[in-house]
Amino acid sequence: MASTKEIKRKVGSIQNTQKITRAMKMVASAKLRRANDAVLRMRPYADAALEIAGKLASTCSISDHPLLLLREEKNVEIVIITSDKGLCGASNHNVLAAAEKLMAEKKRKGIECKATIVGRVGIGYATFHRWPIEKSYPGILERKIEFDDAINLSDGIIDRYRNDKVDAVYLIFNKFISVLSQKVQEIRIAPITKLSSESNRDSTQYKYIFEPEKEELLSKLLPRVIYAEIYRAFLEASASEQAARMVAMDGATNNASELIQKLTLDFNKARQAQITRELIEISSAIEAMK
Amino acid sequence: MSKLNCIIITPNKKVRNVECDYIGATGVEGDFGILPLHAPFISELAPGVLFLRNQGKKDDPIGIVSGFLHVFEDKVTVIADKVYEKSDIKKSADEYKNQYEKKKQALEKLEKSDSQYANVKAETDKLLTLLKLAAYK
Repeated sequence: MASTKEIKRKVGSIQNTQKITRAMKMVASAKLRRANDAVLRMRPYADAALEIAGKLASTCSISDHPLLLLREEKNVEIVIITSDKGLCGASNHNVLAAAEKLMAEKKRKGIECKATIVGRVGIGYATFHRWPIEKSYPGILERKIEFDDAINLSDGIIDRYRNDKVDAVYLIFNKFISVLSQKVQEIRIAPITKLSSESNRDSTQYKYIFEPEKEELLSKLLPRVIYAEIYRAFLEASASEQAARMVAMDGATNNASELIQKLTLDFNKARQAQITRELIEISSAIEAMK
Repeated sequence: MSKLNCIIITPNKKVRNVECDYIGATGVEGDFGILPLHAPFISELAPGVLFLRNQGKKDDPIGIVSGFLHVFEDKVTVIADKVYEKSDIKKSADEYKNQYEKKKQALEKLEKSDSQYANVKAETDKLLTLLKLAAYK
């Protein structure tokens, strides 16, 4: 059995670790609340952008704008959103596994895939596994997420889409459902197909006034739908990251408590053994002197 | 008389959600006003000031750099990337005017294909919005 001194040192180091994990959990829960608020605040914008674009699109035919037109997939781009830091359970791995699956599936059909990766964890993973990387964006999720970040990334995508470099763009990220549950979501952001199917058809009977012409409006409004989609994904991913980290750090803190309990028991046993040994030594010395 | 329900939204928050009688805004093809029972209308907004009037009283004006306005059955939805309130005005209109003129000249020297063009254009639009908001009475 280890000496009492050794056990004491171990307990001390675990207590220090526990302090760190507990602090990280608290930081994560504060950040989670902020991230969750941001998700809720941006929802009306996304809904409104979609509604206006939908109303507009319902008066046009899908061939009016390339972003509405479904093309045969030859090259696709996959946007993968991961975190910049680790220690958040399996959340990054789930996203990367889903991306890997999608890429394998596309490759089987003879479709070329390229990855655009947000977050250092994903970039590291993709570089190690030699994925074809189109563009990488480190450090977006670790600071305050701005709408401009989403515009910046989306403009690159839209450019490549309009220049026929890619025929479809998929987005993979963790959707925040609750603190205990985040789900990997896989959506296609370009071309935009969800506009035409909705109940927007009824608005065709109204005569809309457009300023400027509707083709020009469409080309300015449709990117907004994609900006909103990407921005929402950023915020959801950030909320998921913090939630996953909170849970992971909670688990770590509990594990540390368990370990400390076990080691304290060991420590007491060792101390008791030492006392017993000393008593035996004394009494046997007395016996010998008789 | 029916009223307009006006909602102004940015990606970060709902700026306004109010009832009003009149909305004035700057579109890319010029200023316009919306009264109740307006025909369905979608317009792109140019840098400028959007103001609401309710029962003859003017609400605080809002500076909008770029965005869209949608009118449908007395519901007016404005989506904008960024808005400025009166409280964001830190300098006098003249100072904004000077800054704006300088930026505008810098912009005219650049080609559209220049990588800096978009940035400078965005700053010019922002300054124009602030200038209009500062000068608004």
